[in-house]
Amino acid sequence: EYMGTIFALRCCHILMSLQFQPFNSFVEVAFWQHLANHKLDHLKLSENDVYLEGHYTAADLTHQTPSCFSVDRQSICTENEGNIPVNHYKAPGSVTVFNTMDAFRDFVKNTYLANLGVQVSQDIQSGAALRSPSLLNRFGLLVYADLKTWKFTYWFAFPALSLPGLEASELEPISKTFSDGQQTALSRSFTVLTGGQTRYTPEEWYTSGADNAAFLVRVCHQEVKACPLSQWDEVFSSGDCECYLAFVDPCPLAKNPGWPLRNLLALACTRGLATVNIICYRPQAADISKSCIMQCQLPGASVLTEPKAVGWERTSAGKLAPRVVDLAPMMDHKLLAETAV
Amino acid sequence: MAPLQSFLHGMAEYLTPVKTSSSFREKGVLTPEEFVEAGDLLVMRCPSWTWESGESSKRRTYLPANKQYLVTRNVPCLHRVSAMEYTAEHDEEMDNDDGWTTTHKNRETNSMEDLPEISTREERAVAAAAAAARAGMEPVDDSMGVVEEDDSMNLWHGKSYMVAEEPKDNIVKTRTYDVCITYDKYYQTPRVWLFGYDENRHPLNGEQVFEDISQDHARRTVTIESHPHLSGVAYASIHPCRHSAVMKKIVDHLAESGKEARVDQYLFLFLKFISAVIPTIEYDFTYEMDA
Repeated sequence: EYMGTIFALRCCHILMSLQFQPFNSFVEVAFWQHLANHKLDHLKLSENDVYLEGHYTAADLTHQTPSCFSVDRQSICTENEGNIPVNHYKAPGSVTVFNTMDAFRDFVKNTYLANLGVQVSQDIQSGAALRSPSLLNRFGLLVYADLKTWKFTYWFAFPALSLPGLEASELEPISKTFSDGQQTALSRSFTVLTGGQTRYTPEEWYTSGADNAAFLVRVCHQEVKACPLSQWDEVFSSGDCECYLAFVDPCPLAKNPGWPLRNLLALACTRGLATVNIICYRPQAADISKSCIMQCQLPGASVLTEPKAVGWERTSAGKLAPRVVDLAPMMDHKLLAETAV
Repeated sequence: MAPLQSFLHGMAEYLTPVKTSSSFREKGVLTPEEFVEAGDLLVMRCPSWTWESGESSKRRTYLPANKQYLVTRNVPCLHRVSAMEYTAEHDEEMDNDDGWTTTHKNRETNSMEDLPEISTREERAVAAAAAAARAGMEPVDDSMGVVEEDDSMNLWHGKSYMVAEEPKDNIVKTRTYDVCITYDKYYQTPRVWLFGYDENRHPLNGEQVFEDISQDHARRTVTIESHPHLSGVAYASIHPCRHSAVMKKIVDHLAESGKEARVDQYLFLFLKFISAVIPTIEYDFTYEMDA
């Protein structure tokens, strides 16, 4: 009996509920300028959605800061023609520019977020998200631009499907499971998956939008291979191999994964898995030793019959409220003249 | 001169002697073609740097459309220049004409632990409010119809975005910078432009940017001007009038020690000396020989 207890302690992961570090938005000033021009020249009084492509990358492990979810000057683009820097991963979204502060305020935001959640859920159920994992990171942006004072009020929504009952083991360093050689093999294999190069010419630096932020890892007889998400059935049915669901993690924390894992787990639920091994892929150039592994116990696929989405971004003070950026100090020519010597 | 020589010596170790272009060697200046060549090497070696095309209306015809200027984004700036101490004699060094690299001869940098940090949540909140006030913003406190989310899976620490996390919750205020390098046709040298964000990702104004520039240069060689490839936005710029002279000096010193700088390595040398002006902005200019 005593031996039995020890065995139980050793072999079983202790499961607990999981918390995810939310995305952190970062809007380049050049985006605001571009958006202001776009509003004046093209949108005019229209408050329709405009396609927008954001991007993020793995966490900065040197400084232990999360990567930011960026929109920049090139974010307003046509679908699949965006310019995403190498090692960054695109996320499709839309921006709605309101004409008045009242319109921004009165806009029914809960419905908006719920609709984003429904879109994510539909992309999961139709299989579209397997072919284009970026659909899991769909986002929305609401803006009121006061072009007279260069003050922008904005609010990001990063919809995540609610998964009640989800439990996971503690994050462990990848080195507990993968040898140094296997880590190197995984890093190489992922590089091949995302384009096959470690060096880029300047022309190649901006790609048409890498779409491998979520991928699969198969370990067969010590051999490690990164596979696209679209090979799901093939990978998970490959006999006595170890299979992992992996994602490029914008979070640097030792005990928590980043936001993109949430919808990826929702996808895993619909594929009928009861448990899944996760790799929080955290590369630092070719070194992936800061990556983490955990095991998740999934609720059934029925959680997606009535999908519920959460994910309004909070302000830096932690409040559920829009953010404001005031570009007047950067734009006002009188102020500029005073600062310049 | 010791620090300059040791820096040159250190730099020389990175470099392999190959032929140099004549104007670069004699005057420390670059042609646009050489700027592109040097930029290509920088982008290859330090992938955090990228080429940008900028606005089409502001395009320079003497540079390729997709290689108008270089940029590296979100460069961390962990502490303010004022946290670095100078010893008494340093002012005497100001007016010699050895270029910028010698003016900090007696500088001593405090170790990280000694730097003032905003350590408690309350202080951080005060600092954030002060930053917001400086930027002329009213803090928004209005959820505009969004119901508080019932989401136990959202890890929210009440932390601002770019706050480096260290063990024991030892928080460091982290500003970030976008650093651009354009080609200045008049001076025939690269020119550096800075745009900063505070730890809450609000743009920094000119006064705040000056806190991150060596005080010897803040109001002498660094000014706030419009970016040449982006309309309307003011960047802090390091004026390039002394760049070629300093670059010439560096190249000469390398030559004296038997090393010749290649023209495509220009930007590595250049960024090394620019780091004297913006010592706390940790952009990448490491010259890796391989991998």
